[in-house]
Amino acid sequence: MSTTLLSGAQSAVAFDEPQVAKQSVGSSWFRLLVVPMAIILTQAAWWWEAVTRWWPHSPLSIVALVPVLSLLAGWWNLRRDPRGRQIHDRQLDLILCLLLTIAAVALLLLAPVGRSLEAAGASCLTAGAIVSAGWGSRALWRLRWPILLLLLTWVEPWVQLSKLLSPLVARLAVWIAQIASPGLTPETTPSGEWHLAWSTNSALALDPTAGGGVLLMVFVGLVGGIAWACAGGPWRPLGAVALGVVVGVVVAAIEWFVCVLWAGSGLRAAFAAWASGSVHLRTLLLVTVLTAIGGAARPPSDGRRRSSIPAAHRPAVRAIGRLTAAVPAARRAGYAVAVVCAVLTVLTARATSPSTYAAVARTITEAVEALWP
Amino acid sequence: MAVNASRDQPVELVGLNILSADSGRSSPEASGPRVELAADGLANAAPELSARTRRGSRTGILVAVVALAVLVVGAALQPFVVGLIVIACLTAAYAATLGHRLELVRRALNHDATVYVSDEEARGVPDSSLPVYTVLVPAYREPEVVASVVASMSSLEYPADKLEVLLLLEQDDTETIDAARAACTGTSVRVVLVPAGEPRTKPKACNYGLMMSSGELVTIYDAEDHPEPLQLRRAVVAFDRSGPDVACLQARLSYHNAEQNLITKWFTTEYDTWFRWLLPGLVATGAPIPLGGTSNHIRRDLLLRVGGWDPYNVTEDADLGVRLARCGFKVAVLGSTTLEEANSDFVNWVKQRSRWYKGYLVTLRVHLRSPRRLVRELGLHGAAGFVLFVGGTPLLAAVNPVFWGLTLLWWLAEPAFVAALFPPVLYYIGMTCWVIGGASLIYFGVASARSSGKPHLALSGLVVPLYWGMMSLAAIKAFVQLVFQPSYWEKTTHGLSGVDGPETGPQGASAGVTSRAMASTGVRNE
Repeated sequence: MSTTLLSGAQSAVAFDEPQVAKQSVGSSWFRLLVVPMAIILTQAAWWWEAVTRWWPHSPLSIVALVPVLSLLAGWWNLRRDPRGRQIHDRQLDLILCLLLTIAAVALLLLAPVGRSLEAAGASCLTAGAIVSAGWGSRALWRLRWPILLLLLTWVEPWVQLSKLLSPLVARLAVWIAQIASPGLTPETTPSGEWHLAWSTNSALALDPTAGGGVLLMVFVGLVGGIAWACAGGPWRPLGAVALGVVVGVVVAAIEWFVCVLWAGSGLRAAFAAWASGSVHLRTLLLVTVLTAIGGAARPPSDGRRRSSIPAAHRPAVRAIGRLTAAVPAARRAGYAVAVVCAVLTVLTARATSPSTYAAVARTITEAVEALWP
Repeated sequence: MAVNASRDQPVELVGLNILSADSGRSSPEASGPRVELAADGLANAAPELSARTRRGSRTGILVAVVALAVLVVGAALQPFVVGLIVIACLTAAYAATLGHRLELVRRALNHDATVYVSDEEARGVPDSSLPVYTVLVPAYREPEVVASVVASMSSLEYPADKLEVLLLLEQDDTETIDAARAACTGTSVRVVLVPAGEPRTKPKACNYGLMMSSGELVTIYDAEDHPEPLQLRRAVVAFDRSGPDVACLQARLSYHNAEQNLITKWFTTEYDTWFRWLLPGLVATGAPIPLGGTSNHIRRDLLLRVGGWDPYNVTEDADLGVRLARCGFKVAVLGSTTLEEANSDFVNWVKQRSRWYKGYLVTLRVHLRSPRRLVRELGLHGAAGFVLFVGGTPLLAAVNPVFWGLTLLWWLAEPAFVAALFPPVLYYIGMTCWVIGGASLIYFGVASARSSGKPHLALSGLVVPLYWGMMSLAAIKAFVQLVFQPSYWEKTTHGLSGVDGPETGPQGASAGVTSRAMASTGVRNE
């Protein structure tokens, strides 16, 4: 049951040359930009919630940086030339979009109103649905790692993990601190929290999320590693993740060292500050800036200098050409993206800002009633 | 060795000897009526057996619309009751299909119904006793694999004067025609140009080729196929050994590029399970066999009597298997393997599988037009086996995501409505199906990989639930197309494996090379 005869050769499209020339410039850029814009729109509500809730006092505010890294990783991935023949199927694209949208809607409806960070669990599904509708299932497959990266924005698992690990990490930190500095006195409160006291002047409580903070150092490495891994090769993701863990640990060590120099007040205070999780934000910012700079400065995969590539063969132009081949009807794809985006944005808003959502809903209802009393 | 069917009673269904246009076999003037017969012969002679849309017949649409309306209205008025009924029906379908599959495997393991012919027996038949054998090779827009198929045909161990290979190409497919003419020069392969016209499908080309052929036995190979060199001789011996009511021998299919990626590993394991356990199980239970698209060896006279292939059915092979069974003929499984190219691309795979599922649904719809007649012709067991096997496969694949979603929902939030939809009886039946069904399918995959001599594929069997997700996507697509494009033929792109089959090329296409290649892929031709 395999050799086939058919009357629709359009179903099998082999991409060899950039086809962007056939399209108007506006249409091409519309095609390229509509998907990330829609994703940003659907993620905006919970993202703002994450920033305002966690920033700057908790290391968990790192989740707000994940979409940025995901976007960068996605772009690196998209502009690479694919291997093999590119076969497309719009029916499959739309079926995938529908299934992912249904799953996202179910999750958003299930998430209790006002608990936006739980609703962020749907961000991965939302992005998948939009990419599938706007760029096709082959692009979805190419962007699978950057999209799966968005799963890390689901704060609840991190909170639970942090709670689970904090006592262990705090105990470990105290143990290491005692070896490094015998003068350090660990104390525990009746509630089980740790305090580090040193003889001269003061004591510092270990932040409950300190465990999570150390964990997030590893997480930073993981994110960087996965983002880098998206550049291809069958075993590269695994190697890059392993490398990412190492990078995360090294980053944590560097941070500690920088902290010592910065504070200038001795090893103990620096260590205590690090263990309390109060300085991680600087590291996170540093990593983000370095990643962004690294991504922008990254040369094409064939090693040529960017300036030596003719404009029509630049990675961005080729990427647009591939998207054109995958989704010939850009306008209809735009409508599909708009519908999915509208549904998911409303539901995300319902989960993240119930008061705003209620106000908007009331305004619309009143307007409708005014028009049709 | 004469291979003549001697079924005495007339075939009630069609008697479609209209395809046997013996006169003017090669005259160009006859191509017009011939192509008309190839396209609409079955549909005109026996419209109830063709998938061609019947004018004036709106019963099916009416029934579907009424059923949908009842479902929608019921869901609006009594959502819980309707949901409960739907869940109960689907759970019953799961349980019945699972039980049927387990029974098929049990039967196949207890008594292997596969017909085996040894090399000595196959080579022992004198050339003069062999019947003329027709090999039909339809191809469309596949210039890159034509040379390979010519080499494969040349490697068949069969006397050249009794082997008729017809390469069936569409008249307007100039690229493939040019490649074929270049490749066929100096060989016995004959290029047959099928005149353009709707439906432009593989079965129409095969019907056209059948009318141009003269062999007592007919078989089909796809353009990328690499049949085992002794397969035709084995088929001759097997036909001679079988009763006259055996109309068709289905040879096993497997893949030469199993190692390419995870999809090809899953696909290979699935095919091995299909041809080694499920089809022999169906033979043992007396249910009709949905034939595979290639390597089915058929007696020409019986094929003509049942009307050839249905050009409007996108799985004309499965349909032919059921039609043969309804006419009282049997299908057996032949212990010889043809190697094909496993689909290695996700999108391409979904397109191919959706066509198969849609074809199964179309076949089900065609043969259930008169359920009483179906039961009379196949028997209750045969009809039930047909419905469970041909209908159950795509239906349950399409419904799976709903149940997976409900399970996930229960784990995440334990909503009350999920508990209400699964009262204890349904819950325990469903849970049993889920646990036993899932575990047995994983087990079958691993066991099949080991028993077919490919233990290196066993590991991929452990992650096969991901493959079920792909199947579900294909099934949903099949249902969508069944409504909007029932006869649309999804083109499967070949040549993605990057290798030219098990041989190294035309020079290496000797029997010895092919046999060694098959041995290297774990295929044993018993």
